[in-house]
Amino acid sequence: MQPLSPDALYHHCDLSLLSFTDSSELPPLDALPGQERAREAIDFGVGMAHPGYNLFVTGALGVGKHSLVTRLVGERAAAATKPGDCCYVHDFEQPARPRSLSLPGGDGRRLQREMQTLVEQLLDVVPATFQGEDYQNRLQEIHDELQSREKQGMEELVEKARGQGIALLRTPMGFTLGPMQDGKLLGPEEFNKLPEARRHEIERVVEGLNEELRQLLQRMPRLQEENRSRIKALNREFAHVAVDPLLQGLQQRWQEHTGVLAWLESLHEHLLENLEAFFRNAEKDGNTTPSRLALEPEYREYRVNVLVDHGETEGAPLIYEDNPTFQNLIGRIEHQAQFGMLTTDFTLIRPGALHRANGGYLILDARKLLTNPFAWEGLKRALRAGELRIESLEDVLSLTRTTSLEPEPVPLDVKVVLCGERMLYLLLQEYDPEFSQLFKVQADFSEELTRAPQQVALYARLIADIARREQLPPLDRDGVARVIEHSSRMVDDAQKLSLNVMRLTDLLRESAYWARDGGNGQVRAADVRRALERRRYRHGQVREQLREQVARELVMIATTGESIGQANGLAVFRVGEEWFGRPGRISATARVGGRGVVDIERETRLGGPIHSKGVLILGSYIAQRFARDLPLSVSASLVFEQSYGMVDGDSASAVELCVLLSAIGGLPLAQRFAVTGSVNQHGAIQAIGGVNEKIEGYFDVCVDRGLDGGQGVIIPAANTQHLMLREDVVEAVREGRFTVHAVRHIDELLALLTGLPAGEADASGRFPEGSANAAVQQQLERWHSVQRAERGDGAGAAALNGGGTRHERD
Amino acid sequence: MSGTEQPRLLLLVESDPAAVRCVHWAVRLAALRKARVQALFIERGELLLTAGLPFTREISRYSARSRDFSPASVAEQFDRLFGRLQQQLAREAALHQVLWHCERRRLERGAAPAEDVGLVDMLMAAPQHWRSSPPAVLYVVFNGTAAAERALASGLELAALGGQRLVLLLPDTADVDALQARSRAVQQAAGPQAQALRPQHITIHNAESMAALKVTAARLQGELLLLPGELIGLDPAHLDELLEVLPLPVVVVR
Repeated sequence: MQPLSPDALYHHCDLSLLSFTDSSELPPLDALPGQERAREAIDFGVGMAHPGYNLFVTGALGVGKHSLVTRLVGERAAAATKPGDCCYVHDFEQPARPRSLSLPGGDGRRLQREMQTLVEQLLDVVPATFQGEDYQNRLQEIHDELQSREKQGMEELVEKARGQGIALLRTPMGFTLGPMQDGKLLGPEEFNKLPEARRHEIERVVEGLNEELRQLLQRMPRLQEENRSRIKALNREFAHVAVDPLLQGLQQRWQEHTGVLAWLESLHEHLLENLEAFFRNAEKDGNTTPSRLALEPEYREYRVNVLVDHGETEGAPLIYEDNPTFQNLIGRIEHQAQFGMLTTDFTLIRPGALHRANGGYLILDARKLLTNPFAWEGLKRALRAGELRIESLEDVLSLTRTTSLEPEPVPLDVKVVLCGERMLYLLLQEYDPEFSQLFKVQADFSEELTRAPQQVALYARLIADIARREQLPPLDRDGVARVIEHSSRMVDDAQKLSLNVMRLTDLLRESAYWARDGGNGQVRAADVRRALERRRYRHGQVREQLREQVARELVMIATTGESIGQANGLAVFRVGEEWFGRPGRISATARVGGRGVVDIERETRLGGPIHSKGVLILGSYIAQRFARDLPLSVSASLVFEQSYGMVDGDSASAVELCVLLSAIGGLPLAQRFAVTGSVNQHGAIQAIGGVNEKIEGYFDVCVDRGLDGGQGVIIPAANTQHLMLREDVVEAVREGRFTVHAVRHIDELLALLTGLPAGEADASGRFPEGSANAAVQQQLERWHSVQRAERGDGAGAAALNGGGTRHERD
Repeated sequence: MSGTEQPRLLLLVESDPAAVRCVHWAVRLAALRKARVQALFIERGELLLTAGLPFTREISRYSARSRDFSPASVAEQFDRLFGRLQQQLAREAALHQVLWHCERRRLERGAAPAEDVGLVDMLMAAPQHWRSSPPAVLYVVFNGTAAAERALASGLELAALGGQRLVLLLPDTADVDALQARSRAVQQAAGPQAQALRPQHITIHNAESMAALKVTAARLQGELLLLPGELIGLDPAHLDELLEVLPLPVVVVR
């Protein structure tokens, strides 16, 4: 079998497709190539006005989801009508439930200013009204009348008592009555000297007066209450005088806004009953002007809290919330420490991203949203209800229940765009029944682009666009071609181009760095190459350590000679952003028995499910290929040598099968090869991932040992379309110092590794003598006979005596 | 003022829980005038006499309920109030660094402590009408005398410290303008905080007569009234009226 030619190992960019000298000549792109499907979905989702048509933009990190979404949604937002301001005001009937007001853009601040002016005016007008002679005289009349009525009652009682020879005395806690004689109070001695009849008479009189006094004192609170009512009525009368002209002006200016008018009406009613604040403070500090006084906390219930001001906004808002916590989305109610307690009011209500985006568009990162506790639930609740209700997390979780606010909900009309990985979308679809109701539109970004001539030209323009946007030096034609080639390597596919704009941008930035470092005005292919090499070097610490372990034979890998039941597999490792391959020894033992193939990785719980599946396929393949008519009499075990971590994937199943067959048939395998590829039950070799890294990993090991021309890697034929190997590998192949073989069937692989023909079975299922498969077949038959002999079966013993080459049916 | 000796403020406290509340203001006033406080807790002797009768009852001013009234219960009430007065004085005097002395004096009706009154520079009589809250307004009767100026200076300083409104009661005489000018001069001579005040001027009839004063005072219920000493001459005969009739605490400045 011939190895692959060097040209098959690297797919160069066709320079005839790049008709420019440097990238600055290329016109800018109208749209990101390869994302037509996503673009149409975004246009559709943004244009759909019905509820639930929110967008979930899927795609890998770096494919340009945010920039495209921001641009497309931004265009739509700029052409839309701007929404109104969102304000909160104090609710005078229900102070714990602040009232929301929606006003045309910019009117929130206007109302705020007018309320400030109103408070200043009240601070002037109210003291003047209530300190005026008119009010003071009326008030005094009321007080005088009360005093007169109280005094009159008491004086009448005093006079009556005096007429009966009794004095009314004030005590520390009240009053008492004592008898008098000749203008002097009687003590016990004098009293006892009085005739008995007189004493009885005095006692009776005092008892009667006591009762009258008691009734009189009982009436006092009623008089005072009556007095308070009269003062209240007086205050209200003068409050009308002070407040009405000011409020009427406000009401006229806001007569077109029913919400404001209703609030002003309740404010009017509140002011008529609560003007003390304006009276007290104005007189307390003569140095403070009304405008300064109006800013004091005492008057905050007359303020307007403008949560969202669209006075300067053009079009609909487009908000990107980078930190979508529950509170950053829904809004929050802040508290202030006051005398050791936490207090709050409507002025401490703060908007969330949904408030700011209301009437427009909100872009969120799905992963951040889902990893912030309760943010996802909060967003869904708001979208489902169509209103925005500000709640503290403590209330939502019922953790604590302090006196707090329940602001009136705000109607919500927002288009939410979530950006996230495809897996998140699928998980939400699967596990969240509300998700499909609320996010009906998926905009799925592609991660790769077909490397067709037309697309290559577009891709060159994309490279030019990025260079311009990042203010990098232009790339020359070779530089662009090298970037395009690496783009294929990024997706591990020679026929595709990566749409990961982020990684592409990084490569261009780093290439430009080395271009500037070399004093070049253009980014050339050599600069791109150097950028890739230096990056590989920077990230290569772990890779080099593992490579060194093989070189020092701490990890045993044979690259020459032959061995039974042993071959080199290939694995891919990822450390951070760096992917690299490394060979690993796979070995098998086999003996007579009935346990089949034992996967030691699985038995030790170091094998993943896909790996176990691959091993089970091997057993199935061997049974159907070599023991269709008799029980499989083999006990074999299979292991990844010097592997101490989890093993998963089936890309080693082809080489595992070869190692097993080698162990059964006693077939020596060439150790100069490393093999990758999975196998199915019929022996077909299937494509695997990371083919480039695997080949390069084995190549590096062979370089350390010294390339002898025989070493090489055997890959599935299907993977040849993915080959984009490093230049040094391609060069070694070109010089005949290294090989890459592509196989389609296990027989091809077996032949390469054993140096024997695999052999085709004849009509009776017998493989030709001298073939690798025949050796396996004969060994299995021999083991079967041994088992029969052990059970005392004569046919089995005869077969053993006769050499065991003949298949006998039971 | 009485020569070079430290001035004295005589505080007459009726045997009434509300009256004890005036201690704060008495001590503050004494601190402003660098005076010491001499407090007299007045026990009405006639109450003990009447309480000795078998049938007497006390009717509560607050609840209008009738309860036992005996010499023992009266004495117990006196003791309790006197104890509170002493505690209050000790606390406030320590705070304002004022010297004080407190006695209890049993007096018959009309037998004012003339010997005490004759020697003091200021007298504060606190009847039963003290409010539970501090006064919102300080009234000063300003008739232009030297004592009136001292009363006004005290009123200005108290108002500046306590945040009260200050009202000047001016006798309705022909030279009321001159009185107003004089009051402004007193204010200018006061401290910067006092200068910032804007006292209100009210002209009243017969402000200098005790009878008119009683009528006026009745309209100022619950506030604090500062009087120049000449107005009543600190006549012991008027003290009963001050204590019994005036429905507000009164400070007489000599």
